[in-house]
Amino acid sequence: MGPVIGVAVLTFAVMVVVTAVRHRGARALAVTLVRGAGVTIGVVAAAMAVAQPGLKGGLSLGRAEMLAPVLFGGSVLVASVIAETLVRAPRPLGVRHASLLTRAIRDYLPPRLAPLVLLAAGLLATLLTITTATASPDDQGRPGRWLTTSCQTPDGLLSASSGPYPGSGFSLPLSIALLLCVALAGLGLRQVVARPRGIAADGEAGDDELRRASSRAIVAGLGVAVAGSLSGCAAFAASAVIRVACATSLSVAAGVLLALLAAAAAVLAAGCLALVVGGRAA
Amino acid sequence: MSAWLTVDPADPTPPYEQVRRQIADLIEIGSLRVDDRLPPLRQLAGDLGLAVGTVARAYAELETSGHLSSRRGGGTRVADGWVTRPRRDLLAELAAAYVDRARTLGCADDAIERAVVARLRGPVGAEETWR
Repeated sequence: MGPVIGVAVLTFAVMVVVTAVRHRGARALAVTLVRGAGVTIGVVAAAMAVAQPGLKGGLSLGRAEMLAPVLFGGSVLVASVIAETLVRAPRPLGVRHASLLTRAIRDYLPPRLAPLVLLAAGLLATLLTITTATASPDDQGRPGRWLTTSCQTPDGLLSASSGPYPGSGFSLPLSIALLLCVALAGLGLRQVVARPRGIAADGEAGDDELRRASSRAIVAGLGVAVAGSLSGCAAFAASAVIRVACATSLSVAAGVLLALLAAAAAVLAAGCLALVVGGRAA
Repeated sequence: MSAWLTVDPADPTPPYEQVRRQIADLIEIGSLRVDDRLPPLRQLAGDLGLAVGTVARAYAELETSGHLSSRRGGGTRVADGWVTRPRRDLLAELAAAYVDRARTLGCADDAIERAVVARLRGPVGAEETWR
C-alpha cells in the first residue's frame, strides 16, 4: 500500500507545483489543492479498503476490490464538486449588469465526455442487472456472490460455481454508492451553473469558459466513479464466466467481451482522472 | 432573447424597483416575448450582486401586475396577454417625465435640451451643464 500512497502524494505535489506555475491565482491554487486532496484521499481509501485486514471482515470476498473504484471515484467527485464551490466571485461595487438568458446545465456539459460517461453508466446498469439476475448464493449461502452453472458430463449432472461475481451482494451497495455520486454530480453542476459571474478576469466569455471547465471536472469525477466501477465489475464478471467449470464457447466469448469492456472502461476512467488532475483550474 | 439588466447602487431607486422597471419595460416593448423564460432567482441575484429576496420581490410584483407568471417546475415566464407597444411610446413617456420634472425645477427648455445632449455624451458633461 505504501507505494500507492506515495504515488498519490507525489501526484498531488506535482499538481500543486504545476498550477502554481501555470496560474498564479488564489482560486486556481485552492481548486487544485482540493482536487489533489480528493485524489490522494481516494487512493488511500481505496487502497485501505483492499489492503487493510481490519476492513476485510466487512468487505470480504472481493467486495472491497469491487467497491474500491467507486470509493476512489466518489472521493475524486466530492473533491471536484467542493473545489468548484469554494471560491466565489468578488461582489461588484459599481454598476452591475446581468443577462436575462437562463443558464442551463446542458449548455455547459462537455460535448464528448458527457455522452461517454452516460454510455458507461448505461452499460454498468445493464451489466449489473444481468449479473444480479444470474448470480447465485456462495458456499455459505450469502446471496448474489457467485456464478453457478450446471452441465451434463459422462459422470452425470455437474454443478459448478465461480466467484466473486457481481450479483446482488455487490450490485446493491455499488448501486447505492453510484446513485449518491450521480446526485452529488447533479448538485455540483447546478452550483456551477448558478455561480455568479465575475470569477474570470475577461468578462462573460471567460466566465462561461470557466463554467465549462468546472462542469468538465465534475463530469470527469463522475466518470472516474462510473467507468472505474464498470471496469471492476466487468473484470470480475469476465473472470467468473471464463473460469467456471461448465464454461461453453459462448460463455467464454462473453467473458472475453466483458474483459474488453473492462479494459475500455479502465481507459475511460484513466482519461477522466487525467482531466480532473490536469484540467483547467482557473 | 439577449436582454440585459443594469443595477446602479448609486441610484436612489431601490434595487428591486430598478429590476422590476427594466423587466416591465422589456416586456412592454416586446424585447421579452410571451412565454420567454426568465433566469432563476439565484442566477439573476448572483449576477447582479443582490440578495435573492430583492430579485424575488421584483418578480413577485411583476407577477401581481400580470407581466410574469410562474409555474411549479416551469420557472418564471413572461405572461400571456401583453399587447406590446412601440419603443418610441415608452421613450416619449420617459422624455415627458424628464421634461416635466426639469420644468418643475425651473430649468429653461434650452438648458433641458443641453442636459440631454450632454448626458448622451457622458455623465461628466451633464454635470458641467448645470454649472
